[in-house]
Parts: sequence; structure tokens; C-alpha cells
Amino acid sequence: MHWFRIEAGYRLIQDGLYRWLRHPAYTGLLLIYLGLIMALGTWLGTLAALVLILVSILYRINVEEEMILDSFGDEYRRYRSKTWRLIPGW
Amino acid sequence: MLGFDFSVFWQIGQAVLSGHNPYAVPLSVYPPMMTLLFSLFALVPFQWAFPIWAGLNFVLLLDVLRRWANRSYIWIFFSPVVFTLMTGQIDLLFLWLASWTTTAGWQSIVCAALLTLKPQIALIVLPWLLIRWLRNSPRSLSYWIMLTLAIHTLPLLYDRSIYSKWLVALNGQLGWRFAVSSGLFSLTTYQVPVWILILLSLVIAVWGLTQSDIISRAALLLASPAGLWYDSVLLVGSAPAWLIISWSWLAFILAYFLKNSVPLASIPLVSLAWQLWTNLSLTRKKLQANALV
Repeated sequence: MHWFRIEAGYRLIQDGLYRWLRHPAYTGLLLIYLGLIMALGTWLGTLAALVLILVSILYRINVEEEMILDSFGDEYRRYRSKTWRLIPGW
Repeated sequence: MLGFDFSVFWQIGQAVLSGHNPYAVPLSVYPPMMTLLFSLFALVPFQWAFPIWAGLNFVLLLDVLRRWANRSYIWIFFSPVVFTLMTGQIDLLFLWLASWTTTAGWQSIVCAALLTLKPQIALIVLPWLLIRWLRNSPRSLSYWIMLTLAIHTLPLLYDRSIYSKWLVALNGQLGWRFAVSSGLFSLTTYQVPVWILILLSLVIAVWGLTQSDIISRAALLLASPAGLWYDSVLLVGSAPAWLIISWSWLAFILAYFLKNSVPLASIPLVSLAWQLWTNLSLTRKKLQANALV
């Protein structure tokens, strides 16, 4: 089973939502899951899910960013210095 | 077999995270919103994701057994439950959601809307509930419709052609699903004409919907052309554990030797027979008590 990889022809997108956030898809995923779990009304479940999902997302972001740094080098370093990771302010 | 079904979900999630077509993954037939939700599994490597998923399923199962089956934890050994845990299927999550639909309040509406993420389960659990809401609580029914529409519209933000991709994937799989279903439609293996099965299924389904929720679940499981063996987890707590659990293993062994899913259709049938026998005994006792008065 494949893990992820950077394929030939990939380029660094810096417009749209990516102008502010480096991983808006993960922000969306986090919001969808939190919304669904909060709607179930279990606060303990929401807290546990938040920790589990956040840890998974941060792990993935770290692995992804290391790989992107290897491929895009300084261009990504510059982009990273002027954007937030997952949510505005962080 | 260990983790096989979960590996499909994991690959679907991986395809979504990489921006590829989730329906290019073999056996991918889940609704678009479910493919988005699968992307959570793919955030970590498979060797971590599967044990976490299996552990979460086990906790959900214990919670269902605590609330729904009078703390009868022996149901862990029900063969569809064992199979679901081993393969990493998502039926225990849907069993957990189904267990909340019988409660009062908005949790039941949210859970009923989420059940539509697996249509095979929704076809078995929701009809009885929706008919009850239509009669007794039209407001719940309208909230459910709005929430369900909202949930299934969300993936269009991600890919506007996602539903046409899903239909293409479904088209390629429906015939195959018919033959491996674990209800009446499994009899197509023995060349029983489909029109007879459709007629019989309709009668059983309509009758089941006029009965209790437990009877309707067993009846719809039997009548469904799309229900698979592991969907029988919905029968947890529907009859004495010793009866259904031992029968489920017998049916599994028979299915293994016959190399078809016909014997598995007997699991909802046994649950149904037990419910009817219990109802009959109760009626007889009531009649006897009335006669004594």
C-alpha cells in the first residue's frame, strides 16, 4: 500500500486559501469531524476525538512538510515563514 | 483477511488526501461524504491506523452492549462481530449510531442522518424509524431530511463531479453484490428467479415495518438485496445470545463448505423466528390470563 509521495510536475500552490494556510484541507477535515462529534452531544467523546484527530493531523503535516522541504527547499521555507500551519494564528 | 476491509478504507482516504479519484480504488463504493471521512484513517501509516481503529470499534461495541443488550458481553463472540473486528469493517460504528436512533432528542436525528453514509445499513435501520417519525414527529423527519441533505452536499465543495464518479463505481459492483448478499437474494446462487425473490422480499419488508424495530431490522436484513454478512451485527441483542451466536457460527461453517452465502441468510431468519415465537407465547399467556379473570 502506498504512503504519499511527491510526483514529477507537482508545484507549490500559494494562492487561494493557501495564501494564509499551508494545510486548509486538514483544517476542513478537523472542522467536519469536530462538527459531527459535537452534534452527538458527548463532550468527553469530543475532547478525546479532538486530541486523536489533532495528533494524527500534526503527525501527517510534519511528515508532509519534511518531504516538501526536500523537494522545494528554500521556496517552501520562504512560504512557510509567511503562512500559518492549520488555523489562523497557529 | 486481518484488516483487509480497513485497508480499502485507508486507501480511499489516501486517494482523497492526494487529490485522486477515491473511486479508482478497487471495491470503493461508499457515498462521497464517507470517502471524505475515510481520509482521517489515512493521516497515519496503515500499521498504526488499523490497531487504533480496531480499539475504537471494540470500545463502541462495549458501549452498545452495555446500553442495548443488558450488558451481555458474550455478544463479542457473535460471528459477524468477530468478522467485523478482524477485517476492520465499519459496521460496529454504524451499530453504535443505530443504537442512538431509538433515544429521544436530537442525537437520534443526527445519528439517523449519519447512518445514510452506509446505505446498506440505512436500508435496514431507517425505514421503521422514518415511518414512526412521519406518524408521531414530522418535525424530527424534516430535520433529518435537512441534515441528511447537508451532509451529502458537502462533498460537492471538494469535487463537483464526485457523484457521477460514484455512480460509475456503483454500476460496476451491483451485480456482484447481489450474489454475495446474505439475505433472500443469496438464493440467486441456486437459480431462484429474481422476480420471486423481489416479491417475497417486498412482502417480508412491508410486514416487518408494521412490527417492532427489532423485528423490522431482522425482516429488512432478510429482504435486503444489498445486505452482507457483517451487516448482521445489527441483530445484536435481538434474541438470546446462546441461540444466535451458536447459530451464526454454524451458518458460517456451512457457508464456508457450500462456498455461498445462502446459509448466512438463516441468521436473521432465526432471530425473526425467535421474536415471533416470543410474541406468540406472550399472546397465549394474555389470553389464558383473560380466560381466568
